[in-house]
Amino acid sequence: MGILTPAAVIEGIPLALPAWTQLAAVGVGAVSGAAYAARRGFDVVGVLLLAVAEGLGGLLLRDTLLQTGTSIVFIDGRYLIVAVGAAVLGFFFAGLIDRLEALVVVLDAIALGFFCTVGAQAALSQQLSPIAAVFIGTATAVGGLVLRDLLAGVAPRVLRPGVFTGAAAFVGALTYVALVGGTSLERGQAQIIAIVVVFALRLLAVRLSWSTRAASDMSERVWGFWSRAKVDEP
Amino acid sequence: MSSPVESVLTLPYAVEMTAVTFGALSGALHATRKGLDPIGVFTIAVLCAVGGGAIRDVLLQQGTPLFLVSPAYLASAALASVVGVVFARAVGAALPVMNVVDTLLIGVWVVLGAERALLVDLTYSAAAFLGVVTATGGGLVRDLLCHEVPVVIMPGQWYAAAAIAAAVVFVVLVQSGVSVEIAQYVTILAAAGLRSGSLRFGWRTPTAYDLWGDLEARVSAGLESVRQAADERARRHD
Repeated sequence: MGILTPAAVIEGIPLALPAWTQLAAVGVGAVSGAAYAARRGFDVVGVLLLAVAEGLGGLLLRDTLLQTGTSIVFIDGRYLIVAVGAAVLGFFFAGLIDRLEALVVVLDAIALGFFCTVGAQAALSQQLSPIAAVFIGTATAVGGLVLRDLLAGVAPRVLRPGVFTGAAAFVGALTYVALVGGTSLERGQAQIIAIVVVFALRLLAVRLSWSTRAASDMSERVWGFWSRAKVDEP
Repeated sequence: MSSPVESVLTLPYAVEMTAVTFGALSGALHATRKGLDPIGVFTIAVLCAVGGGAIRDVLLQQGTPLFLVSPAYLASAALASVVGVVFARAVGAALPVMNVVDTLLIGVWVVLGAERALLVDLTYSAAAFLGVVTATGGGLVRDLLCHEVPVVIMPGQWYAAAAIAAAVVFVVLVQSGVSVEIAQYVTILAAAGLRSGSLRFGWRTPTAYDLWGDLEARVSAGLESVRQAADERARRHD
């Protein structure tokens, strides 16, 4: 007693996260989409569109790929209302949001991890393979960002070398799928662990400016390794 | 909840085909100006015509998109594209007429999109959103394929803004019990009115307003004037 064993820590965590967490994650994405549009000098329609794109893009992409019927985003009216509300915030307070950069990074990191788990979970509940679930989880997490960049007319930032986002999302989805498939953890517990992993990765990456590098041709080095080995043999 | 929209075809079929045809013509005109080759012009024109509806149907996930099911859509889009490619100059000369028709068609697209959404019992906010997507999707696809920043998100004349306002008008009217018949014509007129108003009076869509920075500037200016007044008083006192 008194010592917090991992099991005891996990016991306090709910079985599944409540529904409002998804709305909150949508709101976070939408606010940063709106602030981005405002900063780029787009008009009111641009702010609305990019808020909707970044907030709801991931879920829309997931539901389109899974083909499980009309997306939750359209069935539950609150999603669009949250996105539009976030757009209004971004329209008037873009300056303030830019100044609260640290807070935005933290909230975005949480939302990133959350979308990974939600995407992966949706794929798993369609009895898709773990590989597909990791893919859908990653796509759900970065889909909003990619859609925003495409609509804003720039090459998607996620795909280019930089402080990593896509990599963190991938690890998050992988963690979630592994926890759900390989351990007896409840969904909510696995979800929270995966979110924490993504959060830690993303924040460390930002803090220590870890970044992904451009892909480079490794064939020379691989070939060199083998030929050297052959020379050393006799 | 029973849907207030009983059939997709509350607007005459001819109106829908006109919308598709003119979408293709204006797409062809745009692509010709960009200097694309004939295949490029044809592609852009067809996608401009059916793009909005295609995005809407993919998002709705109620079966195969309408433009693939009913051959008339692709047929009229293709025909109009060919006309646009072959008679680009004539179509360019008819631009004033096209602009008038285009103005009327904004509301038509909005109604077509919103009705499809209401037909499958979606919420009113989703119906408004899909109406706007249908109206602006074609242009969005066109701009993305031409690798340009989409016109709809740049500050300028009201197009998407008119579509958004018209979509709100439509769902508010339908929700408050006005018959869809009447609501759709009011919507078309509202969109056309806003669009031509913006062209006539040069209304521009607003860009983001930094409310926080503005308030901060006002507060600091206010504090500054208070401080100056205090300094002034102190000096006079001396």
